[in-house]
Amino acid sequence: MPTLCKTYQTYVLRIAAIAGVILGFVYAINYTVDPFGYNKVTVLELDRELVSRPIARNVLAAAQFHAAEPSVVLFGNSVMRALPAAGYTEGTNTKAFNFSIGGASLRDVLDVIDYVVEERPSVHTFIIGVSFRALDDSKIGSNFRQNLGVIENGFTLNTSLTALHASIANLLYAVSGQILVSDAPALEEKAHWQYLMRRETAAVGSRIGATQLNSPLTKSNDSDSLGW
Amino acid sequence: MLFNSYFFIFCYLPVVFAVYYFFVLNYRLVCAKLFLAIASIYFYGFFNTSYVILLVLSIAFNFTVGHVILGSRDSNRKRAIMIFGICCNLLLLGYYKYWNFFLDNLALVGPDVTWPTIILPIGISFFTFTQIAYLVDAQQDKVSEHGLVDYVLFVTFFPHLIAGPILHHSEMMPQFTRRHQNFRYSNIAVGTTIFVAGLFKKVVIADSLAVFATPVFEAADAGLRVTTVEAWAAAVAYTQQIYFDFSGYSDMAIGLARLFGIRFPLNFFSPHKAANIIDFWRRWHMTLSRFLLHYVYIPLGGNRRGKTRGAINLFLTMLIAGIWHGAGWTYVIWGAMHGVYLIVNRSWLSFRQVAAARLGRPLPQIPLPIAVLITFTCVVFSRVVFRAGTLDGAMSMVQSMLFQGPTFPGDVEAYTGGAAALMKDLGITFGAQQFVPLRDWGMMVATISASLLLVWFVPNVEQIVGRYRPTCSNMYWNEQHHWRTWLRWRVNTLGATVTAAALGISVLCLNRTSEFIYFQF
Repeated sequence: MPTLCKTYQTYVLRIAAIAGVILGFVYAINYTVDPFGYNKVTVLELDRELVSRPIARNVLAAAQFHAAEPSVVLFGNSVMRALPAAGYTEGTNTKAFNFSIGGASLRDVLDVIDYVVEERPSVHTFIIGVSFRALDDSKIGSNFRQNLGVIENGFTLNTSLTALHASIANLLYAVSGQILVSDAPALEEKAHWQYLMRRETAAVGSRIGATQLNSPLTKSNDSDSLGW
Repeated sequence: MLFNSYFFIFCYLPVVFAVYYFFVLNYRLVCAKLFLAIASIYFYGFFNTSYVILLVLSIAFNFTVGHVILGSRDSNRKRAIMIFGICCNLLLLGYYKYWNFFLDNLALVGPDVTWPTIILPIGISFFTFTQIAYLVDAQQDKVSEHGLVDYVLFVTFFPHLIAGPILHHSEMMPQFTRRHQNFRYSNIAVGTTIFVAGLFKKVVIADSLAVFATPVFEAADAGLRVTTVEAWAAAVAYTQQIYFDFSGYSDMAIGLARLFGIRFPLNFFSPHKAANIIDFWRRWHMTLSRFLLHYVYIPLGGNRRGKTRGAINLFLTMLIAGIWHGAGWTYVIWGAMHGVYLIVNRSWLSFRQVAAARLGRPLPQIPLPIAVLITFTCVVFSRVVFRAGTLDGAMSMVQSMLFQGPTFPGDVEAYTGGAAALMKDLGITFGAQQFVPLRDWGMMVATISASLLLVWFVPNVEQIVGRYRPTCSNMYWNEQHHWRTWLRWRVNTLGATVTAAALGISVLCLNRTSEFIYFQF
């Protein structure tokens, strides 16, 4: 009987040890490659498809929102993203943040507004851009609220199959001399502006009715000065 | 608190487990059981604290009524008290689960009564049914004397409190003794393995299938036309999802109970391997089937009063099963469908018997794969109605599956290139709206196919772990011997590695936490 008991005991300890090693390995590789936890948001344009794009955009946007500590927030979908919040900040001396989510419907925008109100009650101005696409209820939303769960828990952030997948990909990029994802915010912005220029969608931003943003809009045509 | 959450796995469970066995090993067993009951009530309160009072009152009421019945010697008085107890339970269930549904339907034909929305207390159907069975058995002198702590633990024990299995006191009460509650590594080994298997089924398989079912059903509910391919894929995906979701939950419950030395009854036994609907109901949600058989079908008269009356009783029983699942016409129709299925199945068996008697030899059997496929298809159609949020949504899905002719999303036409013309010649139409992106179709086919292979060709968890007697049911143990020896689970390094890998993968997938489907019932 003691031998049998010992067998069971060893079995249980082995499960704990092996599972611990697996999770520890995943956490370690994620932490090593991406100490800032941007792995959830593979934002390099070339590997966007590696992770869920809505999760990438939403989580990054939320993380940037917290870092920006804005008083004015812009909402909308990808059309609204054409408006650079930095221009607004320069023009009005008020910290602004563009919280527009690509592919967002009005329901998603409401989710984002709820989130902003909960997280930062000091935001006093809400600018909402409405485009015809945002009124299309039939398309799949960006699931903003659902995606945010992943940034609320550091363990969740670093210990997930998605993060592991992105980590290994980024590790390979790093080995091959490409850029690590830890430069994510800058790269995201760069990729986005490149996208805007390529599609010449910056002008679309002028149609969304945010008339007080005249001066910032010119910045979209001034991309060369940013060194890109 | 969900079983598939970080808080439960890494905090609640280890703490409750450690403190429970600390009490077991150092103090009286009643202290340990009391702690476990309190921890279970805390578990329940984690969902909604306001309904803890409801749970406690329900337990106090049924315990009192049960003891009054047990203390009474007059059978008529016993019966009257039992009926009173059952009526109170049904009133409670009716108010919280069906009152809003009743008012909604009343408004369609009569006065529009304004009533505050009632939030359904989680697990109310399960703990109410458990206690109704207790009262009936107390009236029939099938219940032995027991203490309050044992009763509270029997009803609230957290592995079964929210979504079953629906327990029977006769199989639980004897297990709350010192002999069963001692600390044993074997219980931990077996319990952990079954729990991990259930966790894997839920977070890796069921949640992966949900991705392909949910958008299509939601589109149908929103009044949008769904393509034939997506409708079928979503229907099969949901049928598989609900199986892996609920059987995963049941495995987790069985595993968790075993950690505390308790053996739960078997709740699933490969229902999608069933060769007919009668067999399906012997394998699907077995504890509910048992309850319906003993406390609804037989009291209605069963099949003792002729075939017609037996069929009516069967239909009524399944109708009650449908209503039990939820307050909505889709559930009623789902129950009715299964009632009709069972009647047809029975009639077919009777016909075979009569024909065999007349011919003097048995009729040839339908080949097993075809029988399984027919049964599975019937189940898929009933699941469409079960899943649809509205009757219109259900009709739309069925229409897409059967009556609109084969349709594909417009993107498929571009993707298939020259083959599109051939497909059009075959009557296939393109251009419909798409709800599962084309880039995910490969994954959709792979996931659904893999899940079908699993349910049709792989033994279930109870068979794999069968030699360690994972449950207190023994009806299917013989079937485990049909499977090859190497598939049987063993307490060795390989077993530990596979279990640990499944645990690791499951934990890595926990960040997409979703509720169990049966929590809403």
